Amino acid sequence: MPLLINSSNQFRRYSVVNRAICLLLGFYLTVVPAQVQSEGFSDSQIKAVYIYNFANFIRWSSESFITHPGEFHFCAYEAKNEVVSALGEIISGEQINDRQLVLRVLTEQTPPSDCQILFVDPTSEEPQQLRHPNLLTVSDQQDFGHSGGIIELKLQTNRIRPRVHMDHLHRAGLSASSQLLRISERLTDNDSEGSQ
Amino acid sequence: MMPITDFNTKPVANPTEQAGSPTIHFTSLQNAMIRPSSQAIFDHQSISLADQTQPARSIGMVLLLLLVAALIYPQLSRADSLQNLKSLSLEALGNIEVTIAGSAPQQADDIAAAVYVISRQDISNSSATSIPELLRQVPGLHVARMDGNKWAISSRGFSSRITNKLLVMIDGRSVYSPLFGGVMWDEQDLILTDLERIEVIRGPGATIWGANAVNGVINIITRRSEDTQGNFATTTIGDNYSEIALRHGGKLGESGYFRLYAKHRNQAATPSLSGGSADDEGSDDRAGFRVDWRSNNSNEFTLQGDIYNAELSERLDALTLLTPFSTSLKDDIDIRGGNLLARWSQTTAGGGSRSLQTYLDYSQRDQYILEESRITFDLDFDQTLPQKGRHQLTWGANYRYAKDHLPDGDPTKGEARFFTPERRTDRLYSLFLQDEITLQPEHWWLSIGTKLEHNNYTGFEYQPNVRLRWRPVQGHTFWGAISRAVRTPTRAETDGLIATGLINVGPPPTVLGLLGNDDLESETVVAHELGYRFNSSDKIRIDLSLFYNRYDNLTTFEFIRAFPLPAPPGFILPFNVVLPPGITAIVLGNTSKNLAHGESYGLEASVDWHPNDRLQLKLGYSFLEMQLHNRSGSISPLAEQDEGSSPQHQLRLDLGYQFSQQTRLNLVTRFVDQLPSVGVDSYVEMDASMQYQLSPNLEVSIVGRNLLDSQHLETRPTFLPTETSEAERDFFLRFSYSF
Repeated sequence: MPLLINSSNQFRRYSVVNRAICLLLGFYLTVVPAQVQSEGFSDSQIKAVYIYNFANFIRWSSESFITHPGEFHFCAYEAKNEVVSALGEIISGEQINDRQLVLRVLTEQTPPSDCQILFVDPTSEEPQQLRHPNLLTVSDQQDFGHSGGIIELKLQTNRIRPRVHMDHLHRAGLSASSQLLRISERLTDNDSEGSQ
Repeated sequence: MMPITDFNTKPVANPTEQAGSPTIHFTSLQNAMIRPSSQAIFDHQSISLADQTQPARSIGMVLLLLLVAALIYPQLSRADSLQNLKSLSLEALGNIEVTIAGSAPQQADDIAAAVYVISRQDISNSSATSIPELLRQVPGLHVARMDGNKWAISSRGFSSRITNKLLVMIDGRSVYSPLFGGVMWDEQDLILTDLERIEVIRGPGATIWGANAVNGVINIITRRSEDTQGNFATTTIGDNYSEIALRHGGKLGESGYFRLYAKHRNQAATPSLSGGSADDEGSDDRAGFRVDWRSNNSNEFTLQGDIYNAELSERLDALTLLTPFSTSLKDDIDIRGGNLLARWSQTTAGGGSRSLQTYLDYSQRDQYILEESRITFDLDFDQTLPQKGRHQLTWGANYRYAKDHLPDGDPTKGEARFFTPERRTDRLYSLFLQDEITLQPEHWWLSIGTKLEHNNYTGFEYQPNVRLRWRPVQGHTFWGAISRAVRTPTRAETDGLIATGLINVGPPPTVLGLLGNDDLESETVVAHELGYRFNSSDKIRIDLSLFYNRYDNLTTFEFIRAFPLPAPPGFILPFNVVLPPGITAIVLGNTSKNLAHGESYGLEASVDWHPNDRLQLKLGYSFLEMQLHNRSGSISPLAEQDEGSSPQHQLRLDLGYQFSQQTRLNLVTRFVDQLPSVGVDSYVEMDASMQYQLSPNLEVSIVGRNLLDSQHLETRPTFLPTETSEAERDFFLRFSYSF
C-alpha cells in the first residue's frame, strides 16, 4: 500500500517530463511540414484505381478510337465527385497502349460519344439513357447492373469489388479479361429481373 | 436484434453489407466463462506491479526515446499512396479494406435519432484498453471510472454504478442486468480490434429494442469472421495494466469462415482517495469463436460464443450485526459466464429482409455483497417487408426466459441480503411494428411504431414513437421525434432485503434496510427531440441534438417502518429472515416507491473535421440540466442526488495527425464538469498515443493516459459501500502483430 503512495509522488516529480513531452508533441504538430500521405485508402481512391485498371482489363474494338486515335477518354458528368477527382490525379500524364489518358467532364446534355469509360455518379438518374456501343459504364450506384449499367463497384465487408453485368458488357461490344472476371461477381439478364 | 439503421425502418436486410451501404448490423454474440486455473501468471505480475515506481520511470524514458525517433522518422518515409494503389494487382486491390470514414456514419444520417457511431478507425486510433473507455468519445455519454473494475456509464443523466436507463447489447445480446439494472462492466470485454463498430443512440430506443432503453442504447458489434482471417497477436504492457490476446481466423469449406480468440488481461490496484491502495486489482480470461456462412448472396448464418472467468477484488465497508459492526475488508469477486448465439438472416427480393436469432447466456458472480447465478434464453425474429407504395413495414417478436438464483447472505459475516423468492423465473414477450412512410420522395419521411411487451413485474408496457425526417438538400438533415420508454423494476427493488447502512451501533444495532416492493411500477419517460446533421463529402460532419425529457414514476427509497430482529412472537415480518442465535438488530425499513418525477433538457453537439489527409479534428460538447421533484409524502433524497450525479458540461477534443503512412499521433483532451451531489470536482485530462506501423505486419503504440494529473477522482461509489478510488496517470506499450 505505501508503495502506491510513493508511486504517485514519483509521478508528481515525473510530471515535468510528461509536460515536456506534451509541449514537444504540440510543437511538432504545428511545425512539421505537410508532405506525407495518410495511411488508409478511402473508398473513392480504390474505386478510381479500379476505373483506371479497367482501361487495361477491358477490350475495346479499334473502331472505338477512330476520332481520337492517340487518346483514351474517361468521362464523367460531375467533376466534384471524389472518385472523379481521384481518377484525375491517377491518370494525369499516364498512357495505356500508347494512348494518352484523358479525363473529360461532360455537361449535362452532351452525349458520351468518344468516351471509352463513363463514370456515372450515384445522383444520376437515368443510366438506361447511357447505353452506347463501345462505352463502358461504371458506377458505385446500388444495383447499377439492374438499371442498365455494366460495372458496379460495390462495397462489401469494407472492400470494393466489381460486379460485372456480362450481357450488358457484350451488348456494348466489349469484352473483359479473365483476370478481371476472376475477382468480379458476374451478373446476367436473369439476375436483373424485371428491369429490362 | 436490429441494425440501428432499422431504427427508422430502413432495415438493410441483415448484417450483410448492401451495395454502397455498409450495414450497421446489430446482431449478436459473445462472452464467456470458467477457468479458474490460469491465474497464476497474473498473480505474479500483480506482485511485481506493486513496485510501480520503477516501471513508471522507465516507461516514461522509453516514451521519450520513441518520441525522438518519431520526430526523425516521418522525414524518412514518404509514400505516395495513390501510386502504391495503382501498382497493385486486381486481387490485391479487391482485398484492401476501405477506411470507413464516410460509410457507416453516412447511413446514420438517415436516422431520425441522436446516433453516434464509433467506427473501426476510431477504435484503432483510440488509446482505450476497454469498452467503457471507448465510449468516452461519444458526446453526451458520461463515462466515469469508479475503481479498477467498476464504471459509471450513463446517457442524459442518472449516472451511477447502476445506470438502469441505458440498454447495452453485444452483437444483439443484451448485457443489461435485471438484478440491479445497468451493466456489470466487469463481465464485458472483447479483443478491441475485433470490433466492427459501436453504435450509440442517445435518447429512447425502446420501440425497437424494448424496455430500459430509456436514455440510450449502445450496440457493440464485432467483425465478421471473414474480416479477421489469418493470425493476430497483441500485447499491452503498462505500469497499471497488461493484456495479451491471440486470434486465429480461417476458412470453413466453400463459403464459411471462422475465428477463435483468447485474451487475458491484468489490472493493478488503483490508489484509494484516502491513501493507500483501493485493493481493486484483478485479472480475467476469456475465449470465444465466431463462424459465418454465406449461401448465395441472400442468406447468412452466424454462430458465435464466448466463455470468461474473472477474479477481481474490492475493498468495502462491511456492515456486521456483531461488534465491531463495521469492518473494512478486502473481498474477492469471482465471475464466470458464457454465451452461445445463432443467427440466420436473409435478404428477400424487393428490399425486404428477415432474421431469426437465438442466444443462451449464463453468468455467475460470487462476492461479499452479492451472489448471483443467472441463465437467459432469448429468441428474436424481425422482418422488414418490401416497400409498398409509400410504406415500408418492419415488425418483430421477441421471447426471453430468465432464471436466477440469489442465495441469502450469511448474517454472521455481515452479509445482510435476503431475496424472497431466492430463485425466480421470468418470461418476457414483446412485439413491435413500425412503418416508415415516404411523405415526399428524397425529402420527407415519417416513421411511426410501437412496442408492446409483457413482463412479470409490471405486466403490459407500450413504448411508441413518432419520428420525422426532412432533407431539404443533399447533406443536410433535420429530424424530430417524440417517444415513450419505460424502465422496468429490477429484481433487487422488488424482491430484496438488503442492509444498506448502520445508523447506530446499539446495542442492539440499528441498521438501514432496503425492502423490496412488489407493487413497484415502471419508470417512464416521454422524450422530445430535435436534431440536425450536416455532412459535406467527408470533409466535415456536424451533428446537433436537443432533447427535453419528462420523467414520471421515478423510484425513490421511502421509510415504511422499523422492526426488530429476530421478530418477537406474534410479529409478522415482511420478509423471511432467519438470524443466527445471539444476533439482534433493529431494522429501519425503507422500500422503493414511484414517488419522484421531473424534467431534463440538454444538447449534444459534435463536429468532425478532416481539413486534409493528415489531420483530423473532432470536437464534442454536451450540456445537461435535470430538475427532479419528490411527490407529496416523499422525503427521499434520491431525486436530488440524481440531479447532481451527472456532469452539466462535457467537452472533448480529439486530434489525430498522420505524420506518414506509418506514423500517427492521437491527442485527446477532455473536460468533465463537477458532480455536486457525489462530491467530485470538475477535471481536465489528456491522453496521447503515438502509433508506428513498423512493418506491414507489426504495429507499435506508445500511450500515455490521464497525463495532466498523477491521479484524479471521476466518481464515487453510491449505494454499495466500496472504496473510493482515483484514476491514475498511466503509460503503456502495445504491440500488434498479424501473421
